[in-house]
Amino acid sequence: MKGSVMKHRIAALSAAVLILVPAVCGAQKKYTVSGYMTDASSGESLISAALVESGSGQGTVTNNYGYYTLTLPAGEVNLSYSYIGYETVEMQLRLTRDTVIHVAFKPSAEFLSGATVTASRSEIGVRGTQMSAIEVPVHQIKRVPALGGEVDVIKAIQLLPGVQSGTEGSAGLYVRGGGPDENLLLLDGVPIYNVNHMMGFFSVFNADAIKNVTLYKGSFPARFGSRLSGILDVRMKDGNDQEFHGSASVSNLAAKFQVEGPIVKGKTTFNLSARRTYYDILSQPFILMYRKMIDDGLERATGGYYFYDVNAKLTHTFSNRDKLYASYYMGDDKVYARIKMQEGTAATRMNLGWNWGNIVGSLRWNHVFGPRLFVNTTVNYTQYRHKLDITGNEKYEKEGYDTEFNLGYHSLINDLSAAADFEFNPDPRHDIRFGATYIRHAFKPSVTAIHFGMEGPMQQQSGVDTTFGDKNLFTNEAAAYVEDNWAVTQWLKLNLGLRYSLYDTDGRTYHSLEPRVSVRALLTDDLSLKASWSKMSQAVHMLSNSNVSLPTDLWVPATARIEPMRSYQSAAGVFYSLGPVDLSVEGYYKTMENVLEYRDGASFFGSTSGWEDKVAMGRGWAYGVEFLAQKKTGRLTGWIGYTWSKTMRQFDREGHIINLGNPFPAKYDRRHDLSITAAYDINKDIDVAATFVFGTGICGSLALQTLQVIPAYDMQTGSFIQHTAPLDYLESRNNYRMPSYQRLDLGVNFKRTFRNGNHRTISLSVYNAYNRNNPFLVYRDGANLKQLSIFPIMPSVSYNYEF
Amino acid sequence: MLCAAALTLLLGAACEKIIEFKGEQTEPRLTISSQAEVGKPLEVYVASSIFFLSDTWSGDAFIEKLKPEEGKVRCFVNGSQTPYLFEWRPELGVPHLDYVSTYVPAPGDHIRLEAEFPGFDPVWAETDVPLNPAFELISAKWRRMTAEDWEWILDDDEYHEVEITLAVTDDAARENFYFLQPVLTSSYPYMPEEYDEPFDFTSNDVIFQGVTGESVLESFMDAEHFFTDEMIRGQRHVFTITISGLPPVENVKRFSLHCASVNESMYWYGKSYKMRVTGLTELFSEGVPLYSNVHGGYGILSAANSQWLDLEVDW
Repeated sequence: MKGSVMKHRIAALSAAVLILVPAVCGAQKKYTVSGYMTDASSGESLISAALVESGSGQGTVTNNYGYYTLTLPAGEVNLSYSYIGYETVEMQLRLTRDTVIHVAFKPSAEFLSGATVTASRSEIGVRGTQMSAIEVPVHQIKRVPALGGEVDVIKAIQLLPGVQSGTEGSAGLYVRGGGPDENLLLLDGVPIYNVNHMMGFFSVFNADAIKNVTLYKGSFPARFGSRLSGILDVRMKDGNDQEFHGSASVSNLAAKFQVEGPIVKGKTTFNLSARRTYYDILSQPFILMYRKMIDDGLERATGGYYFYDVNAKLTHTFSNRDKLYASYYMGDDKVYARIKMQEGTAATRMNLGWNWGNIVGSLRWNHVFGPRLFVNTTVNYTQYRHKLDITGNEKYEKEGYDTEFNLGYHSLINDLSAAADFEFNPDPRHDIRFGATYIRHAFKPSVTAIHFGMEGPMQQQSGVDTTFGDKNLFTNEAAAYVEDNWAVTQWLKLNLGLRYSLYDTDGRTYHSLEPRVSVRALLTDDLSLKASWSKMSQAVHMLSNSNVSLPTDLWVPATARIEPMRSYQSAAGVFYSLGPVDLSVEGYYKTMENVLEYRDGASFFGSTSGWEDKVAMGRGWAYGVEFLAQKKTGRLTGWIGYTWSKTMRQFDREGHIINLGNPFPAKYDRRHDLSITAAYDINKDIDVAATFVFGTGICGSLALQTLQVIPAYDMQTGSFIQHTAPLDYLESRNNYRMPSYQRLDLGVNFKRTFRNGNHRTISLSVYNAYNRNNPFLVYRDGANLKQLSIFPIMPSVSYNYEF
Repeated sequence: MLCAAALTLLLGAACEKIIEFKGEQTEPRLTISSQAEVGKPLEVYVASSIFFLSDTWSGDAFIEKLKPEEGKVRCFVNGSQTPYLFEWRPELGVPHLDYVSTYVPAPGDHIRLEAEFPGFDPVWAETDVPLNPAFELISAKWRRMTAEDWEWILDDDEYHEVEITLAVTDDAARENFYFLQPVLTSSYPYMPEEYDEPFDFTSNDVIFQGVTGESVLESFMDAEHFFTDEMIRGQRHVFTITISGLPPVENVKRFSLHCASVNESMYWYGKSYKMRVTGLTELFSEGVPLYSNVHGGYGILSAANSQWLDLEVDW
């Protein structure tokens, strides 16, 4: 039976390939224009730069490596190369053979004035088939006023419609009703499992190292998979291939630097950036004060918290056909504490070390087989590790007793993967992509090790030395896909795709065939209608009890008992270009299967049960409407985003009951979500920016009545009647909605260019400018309901020097 | 820089404030609780709920607004009101109005309770008494556990494992919900019977799996098991009980299984109640909703029909 299903699936996949490929074999003589598009001053490849042949209206955009290819009929062609913020390059030529044209753009002097507006050709704009996706220019992200003066990509993404944040300060992304684990966060194509620094108040993405950020909320191209709700594709800079440049900055939170340049001019480049926070150093005086205040045998007390991260990238161009990229990221959060006490004859030492972080590495080879076929081959490694160690020692020197205690709680996830992605442009009307990927996951969900030992004067020894935890799991994930971006007519364009995923885990194999369809109808040059449908699957889950991102959040795989998640999303929208402003309205409806939540009463702490016993599988659904007005050029840039949405969960499957099987709102269900972000250049030396956000409060569970409930089982009498103590009565999970969230952030940048061409920027920003007490936690305290807020008004200053 | 840091730390300190509760469910409601057991007189307990932010919270607050002389509690069995059914027993001294009936539930009865008290919305609840359960004990095998069976630290206590094979033989077409609880009582030499002690089983002690092999630990923290036909599908079923820290086996007085057919209300209430009292003990625990089938108020009216199976174990 299984074999028969398998055969049908393979047949379906083959049929899809046959359907997609037919139109590629045209008889008319055609030639291909291909090459790379780069920034003339830095040699940096440009992503989503556009090429249009004005006569036929055919066009294409560069891929993630700046490579483009466009097949056109032979004869006279008028090529127009463009990219936002750069001067358009026009050329006319007679196409008599396949031609390679590398284009180096010069920055446009009129960019800031807004006089020249480059029409959006990217697949995300009015003309493309891609919907439910947003590109945010990095220069725009850098101008969003930031908490602690530390620019953060995730925080900027949270301001987009369809994306909601968790609690105050959290770096979690909740995309169209999905959880924070349902997003594939890619750094140069490599997944990062935990993007949070400082409990989620900052992300691992250092804006100085980043070139391009694209978020997909739906209408997923078949090349993406493994997650249900969102794909955040973050690309790092390659590095300047002409000359050395760099920057250094300090803020009241962190210091960082970035350097880039050629190792071999025009051939080999590097880009290196690093940052470290210094809260641990700044807090030392306060710890010292505290130590002096407590004169209680405390001989030594140190502690602190910091995070650091390093991004590095090396790029080597062998020829116009071959490029090699090596990129690396490493980041850690560290909490430490050391205490030494002397009480009477007892000397006590205690050390705490709590570390968590990611290591990500990738080796990537781009090869141009011919003008119509491009391949990107990668080998990736990603690791997320969490390690908590507490050690203690107590010595009674006089009595001769010595006790020691060690507790360790460790978890780890390692992925080793390989992928090949092909781009084939056989015909002006078809952009075909196909490829395959394989991932070997290694999970060590949680291991707790306890050691307790004691030695006495009579050489007595006693102790406990044990390790327990969930079993290690090794799983295999493979996928193959094919997609065609097909211009059926001038006004009708389709993106048809099919992805097949296989997941082998815990003695069981799961298959998923995932069709993807997007349609664009271009009504006028500036107006289009789009619709899409996509199925996604996900075979890893993150278990989390809290609204904040804790390092203890546990990544676990699908197993024989816990099935992979699936989602089905339909979306439709209207897209309009009003001069420099892109407007869109989208509606979506999404259903999800096998989503996980902790069972009633369960948490990750305490119980010796395995994680599979603590969770239940259920379903979810979400729907909403999103509005976006985005302006990327001119003196005034920014966006207005508004989302109305509803997100529900239900766990009513036998053996997986939560909330008595009744539906309940998801924790991060927000009915209204508004964000306004604006930046304005007053002159070439000063710009100002402001961000306002408003969101309906998120949900939590609150027992609102206390009951004198009687029936309970009495083991003594074997009766179902037992008088019990009063109970707080919770009617339903997530029955209480916290107060709404709102915030205004302001920022101003003072820039100066020195005679030697170097720049410095002094940035002043105020987070939560009108000091709104936003809810972080709501709890009962006696007869009062109390709200804890963590970020009142927070001014910050940073200094940045670029050379 | 230090000043800036100090300012940031100062401003960044968390602050808390009292906020106004905005939402529904602020008014107290009537709570009625009753578990009908076949062969035992029906008892009904009536109290008032207390809003969680009430500043007059005390044990008496559950009854101080209830006036028994003005309240009405009615019971209907199979559509007929049972006259002179209840009597108030305030002498129990617990914070609820306590009523006991001469009516003894029988299998298949339909019970409806209604209550009205001045100042409260009227409430009602209905339930059906389950038919007789039909559990059949196939076998009970005992063995003493050794260190090789147990990964955890062995101490001086004895460890036993009892493997029980059980069949549920009642009509598969019935909508069945069940309850299962091992009960082990030890007596002590020279001590009177009231000093007999039940053994306190925990969730780790009773391993009970459904036909799919999936764990059906309905209450993952407690030994009591509520389960449905769906989980066992009428098949013979094996489950194991481990017993640690048992007093000397010669002191075991009774070892039996309390099996019961329960109705759906009791199934949901029983599961949620056990979750409620055993969960929420840990930081970040998810909340546990408590099942209620009382319309217009809170509480539970449900029913059970018990069967006891004595386990003859040759210790």
